[in-house]
Amino acid sequence: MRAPLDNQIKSLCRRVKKADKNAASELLKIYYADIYSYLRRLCGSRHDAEDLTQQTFLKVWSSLDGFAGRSKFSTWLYRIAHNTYLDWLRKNTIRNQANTDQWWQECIDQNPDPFANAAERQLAQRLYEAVDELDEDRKHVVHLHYYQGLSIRETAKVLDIATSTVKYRLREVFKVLRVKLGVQEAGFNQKQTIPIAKGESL
Amino acid sequence: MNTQKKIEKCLKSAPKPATPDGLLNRLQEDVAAGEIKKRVTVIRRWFAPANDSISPWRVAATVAIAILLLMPLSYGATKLVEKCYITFKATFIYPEPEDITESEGGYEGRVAGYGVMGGFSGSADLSEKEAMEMAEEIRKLCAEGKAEEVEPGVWMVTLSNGKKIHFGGADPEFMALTDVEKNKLLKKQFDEINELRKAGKFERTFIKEIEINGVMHRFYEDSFTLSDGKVIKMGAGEPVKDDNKD
Repeated sequence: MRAPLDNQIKSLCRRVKKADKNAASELLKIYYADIYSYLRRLCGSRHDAEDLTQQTFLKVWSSLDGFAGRSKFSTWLYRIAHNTYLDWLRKNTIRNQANTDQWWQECIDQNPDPFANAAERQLAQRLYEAVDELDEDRKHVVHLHYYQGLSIRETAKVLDIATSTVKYRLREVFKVLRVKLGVQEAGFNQKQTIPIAKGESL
Repeated sequence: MNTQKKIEKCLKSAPKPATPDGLLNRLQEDVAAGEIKKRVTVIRRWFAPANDSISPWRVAATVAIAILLLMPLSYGATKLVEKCYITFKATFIYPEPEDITESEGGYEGRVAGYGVMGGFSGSADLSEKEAMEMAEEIRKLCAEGKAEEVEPGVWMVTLSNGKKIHFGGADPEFMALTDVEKNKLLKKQFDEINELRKAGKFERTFIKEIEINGVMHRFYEDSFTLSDGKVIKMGAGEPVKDDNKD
């Protein structure tokens, strides 16, 4: 997500509240790709992700008046997307199992460049697969914090949990991932502090 | 780099799924199709800017402005239908007068009682009871955010019987103001009205005496001339006291 200025976003929100379609269009251009990728990774289906993205923005337009600006617009938007996904998940549990795909496969096939070599690419694939197998609570913190680049605080706000809970879940995630990747626990117990972002740590 | 850092790096650099062709257009179509719901929210926002309970002060201010500035509208709202505006006014006073407090910037603590809804189209042939019911339904629809802004400052609600009622209206000058400016202007006018009211500098016209919840009330139209020359007419109602019964 490119980082638009807060003031720019606030101004756009004010204009959208006055039914300015150009401003709504601008907001869409800024955020739609991030919201789509968030939902695409979560729901495991391109078509469902498109629908969920659409539902998310429809909810945004209909409830923007309720957005008081106490949190960042992006946090509020992710919260709506997250809840939209949860609603969908509740209604589609059985269908999900049959129709999910591996989002990363498509990405890696289309763009293998981010990986230095085949070993790294293979590691990435195993990792993303392992994340997908996490329980929902743990999965969400990874998606929001790592995949979407939200801070610990923003992740906590989206999930409506304490920042300490986010940190706890991330620590748990790392334990699971290490096991899944076949890494010896002993080697990791030596250092438990993981720099997550500037000013934040687990 | 240890494995933990590798994991973290890998997660942070997760590839981003490409957005499908046409998705942005699809989302833009929703915008173009009017899914930005100013129509639903404008009146609610005005009445309850903090997205909580409806503010009587704002209701009164809005309807007062509607009467004052917006009467010369060209459609049905140009008529001020006596029965309807009196009963509408009454619904704001009762049955919860305790909700109305001076802290809300009200008009002598009973501001909601002074709001007058200016003209519901097509309501002239209603009975008192029908008018009261209609007024209450309109009030509820507004409170639920179901009033649709059909043109700047003019709202429409669809009643349960399918009838469409227009109300409000605004002069372009007022509607061109920001919400903050509108608030400021209305507050200023209300402050001045309060002063004029205290000083007895207004003209009162008796309109009607009606019974509400078993208590007889008198309703008036008070006319205030502000320092800028604007004349504001507001409804006023009060229970009939013993000394007024003659």
